[in-house]
Amino acid sequence: MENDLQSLLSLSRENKRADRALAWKKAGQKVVGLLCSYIPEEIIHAAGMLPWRIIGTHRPGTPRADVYRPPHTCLYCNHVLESLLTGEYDFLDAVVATSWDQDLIRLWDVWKYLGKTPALHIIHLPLSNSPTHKKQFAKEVKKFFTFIENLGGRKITGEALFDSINLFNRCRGLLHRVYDLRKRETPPLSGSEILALTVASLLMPKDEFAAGLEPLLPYLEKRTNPLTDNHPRLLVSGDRLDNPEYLKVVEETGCLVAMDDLDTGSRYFWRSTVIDGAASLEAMLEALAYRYHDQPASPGMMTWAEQVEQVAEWVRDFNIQGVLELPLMYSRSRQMRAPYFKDRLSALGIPVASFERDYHLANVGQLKTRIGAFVEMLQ
Amino acid sequence: MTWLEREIERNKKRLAKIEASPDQTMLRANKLLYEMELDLRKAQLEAWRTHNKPMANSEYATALINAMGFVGLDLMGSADRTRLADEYFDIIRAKGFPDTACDRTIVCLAMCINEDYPPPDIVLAHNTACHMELTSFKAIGEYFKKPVFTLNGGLGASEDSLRFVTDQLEEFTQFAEAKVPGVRYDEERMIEILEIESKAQQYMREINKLRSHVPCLLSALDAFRLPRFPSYYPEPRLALNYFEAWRDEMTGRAEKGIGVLEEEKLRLLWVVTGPFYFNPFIVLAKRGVSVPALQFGWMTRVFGIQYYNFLDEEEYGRKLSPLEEQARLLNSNSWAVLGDTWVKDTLEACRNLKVDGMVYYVQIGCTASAGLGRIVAEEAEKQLGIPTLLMEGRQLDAQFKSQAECEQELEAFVDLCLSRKGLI
Repeated sequence: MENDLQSLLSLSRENKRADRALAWKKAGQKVVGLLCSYIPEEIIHAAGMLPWRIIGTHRPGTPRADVYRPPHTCLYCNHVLESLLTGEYDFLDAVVATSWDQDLIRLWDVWKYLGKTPALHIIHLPLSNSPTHKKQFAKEVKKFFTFIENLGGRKITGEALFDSINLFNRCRGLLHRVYDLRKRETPPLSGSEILALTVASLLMPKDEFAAGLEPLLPYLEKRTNPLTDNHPRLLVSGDRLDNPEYLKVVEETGCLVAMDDLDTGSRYFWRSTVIDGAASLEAMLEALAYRYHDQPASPGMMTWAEQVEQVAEWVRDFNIQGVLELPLMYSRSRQMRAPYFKDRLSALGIPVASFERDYHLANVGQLKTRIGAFVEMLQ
Repeated sequence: MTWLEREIERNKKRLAKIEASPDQTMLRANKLLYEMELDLRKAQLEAWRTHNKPMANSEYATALINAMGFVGLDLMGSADRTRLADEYFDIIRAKGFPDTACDRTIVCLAMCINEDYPPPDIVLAHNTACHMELTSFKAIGEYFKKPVFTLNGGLGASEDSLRFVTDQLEEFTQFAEAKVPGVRYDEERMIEILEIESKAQQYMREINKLRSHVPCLLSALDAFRLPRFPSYYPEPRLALNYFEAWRDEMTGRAEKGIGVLEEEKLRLLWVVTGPFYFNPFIVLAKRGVSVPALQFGWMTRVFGIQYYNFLDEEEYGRKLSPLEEQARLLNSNSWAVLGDTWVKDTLEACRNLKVDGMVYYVQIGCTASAGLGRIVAEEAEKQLGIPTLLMEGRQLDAQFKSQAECEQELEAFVDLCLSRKGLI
């Protein structure tokens, strides 16, 4: 079973992350690259295509991308563009972004300009949780549905969408069961292993992911994580953190990452799509819109108070001693929220530390020193 | 003395200087502009000190903010006027905000924190120009624990997006009336302001046509100035006198064939923004380079030549309500939408203004424009055969790039352009 687990986790590695997508293509099916966690993947799946989260190269340096994007812009976008320009996404049939933040929109603009992918779409994402914003997002989801239908050249049936919603909910349920195990004093998986698992789920066909994870759950009930220290327990907060090695660095300072607030982790799967068996296609699209717009929010959304409440709730539920924020350099939405985030959590008696990071693994020594000091303080 | 008080003194000095010894190369109409600026600063100071009127950030729903009885706070515009903002960057760092974000969007926050400028009583946080402004407005509101209303734009012009933004404006008026005592949306006042804005926009169009005159009729400093909607000011109608005088002066110069340079060898379009801590145009003028305009997000669609005007019925095939007019404007910034609009508009400006090249200021932290500079440059070369200098820099921070470095880059670019024209 350990081999099966490691095999699943290994799919998050840079040299393996496109494996399933390439196999999918080989079987004559389409792959849709996604640049954001606010894109309803179920629609793509219902059309018989693979939704595949786009992760940038973890190599240092982005010389090709630097031609189009100044280096002081979102590093995730720069590394993704580097991968695009080196041909790593040539297999994609389409790429979809949202207006999550303007750096991402500009990446999408350059992508469109370069003409390297046959079809592109962008979803406008209203940034508050007002009824007007939710209603507008539902319209955007319908437009996206039409885009995917056109891409596939056929109608998506209500039955297919219903099945896809159920499959994705099942995967979310499985990940919730894994996360429940994190509440234990000694969880079966380290934080970096969990991140490898959730990142793998972004890259795999969901039926294959469910088939791989479900039989592992009884084994995980008994497994012990490889860490030497399971205390203090940290919650790591960030965006675009898709390299498990980063969490390994954190845990090497003598702590356990027992929960996360990541778009590549808990935020990706936390909410399910609520539908009933008799739901019309229209109602299912609305339910999807609601689910995606209402997910635990990224700092790009202007719902800062709710974001802090969510983190505080996780801190209580997972018995967390400190919150470690790892903002991506030049990620302006998170950086601008940072003082608010720190003040509000501190007011609730939750210790917070924030250390900027590169997209690729870099400045390990410096990070370890800083995180180590925070961990020592918590001990 | 606060920044706002110092700015009042500066405007008084400017007016006295214009009276005593006017600079012949600059517009005489600037006197009217500084009088309006002085009125605005005095109104802001009075509202701050006496609480006689509520205050809201005015960028860019200025007509609505004015019609609701707010004193408008031009947070971004005020930050621009600090010129060199070292002390504010120190505050930003100390408070944990990013010092690599676009200068104006963080310096205005520091100005409020430092009690140099009043924080708004209510914040309209929106992305109708860029996301950095949205997060800056939000951060200001949260820092000072003021009510914040989030408005989303950025969808461009369509019936659907017009409805979406109009609905949000209606919600904002209700939100503001509920949260801030004494605030009420006055539709008659709104209609009156929109009529003034429409006239001002017509003047701006005429001015923009005159910008294409060869030789150039404006000094680069006058050309670089961001026009403001009349509703920025406490008395919007006064702005019509300013725009009219500006147009008439340019018309007079055109009729007499008076250019601002002795010999105009090159015309460059300045794009996005520039360094405010020194005058980059002196070195250009010495080389015979004119700069007829600054191309920025609002320029082509709001102050421009070829697009729709306030109050017209052509764009949507019907008369718009006052709030729809405000929504139309908020949907008109070519920075807020997808990048191809900005590329197209910038190339169109190059054509209209008959320029030989572009200085595209790659403002550090500008999420709207920095990632599009290369595409603009490639397309300008391909479609128009003109070169672009992609000049990285900051508006208010001389430590990033010194005056000498900037001037060196500009000189080298001028050499290249002159060489292409066969002039050296």
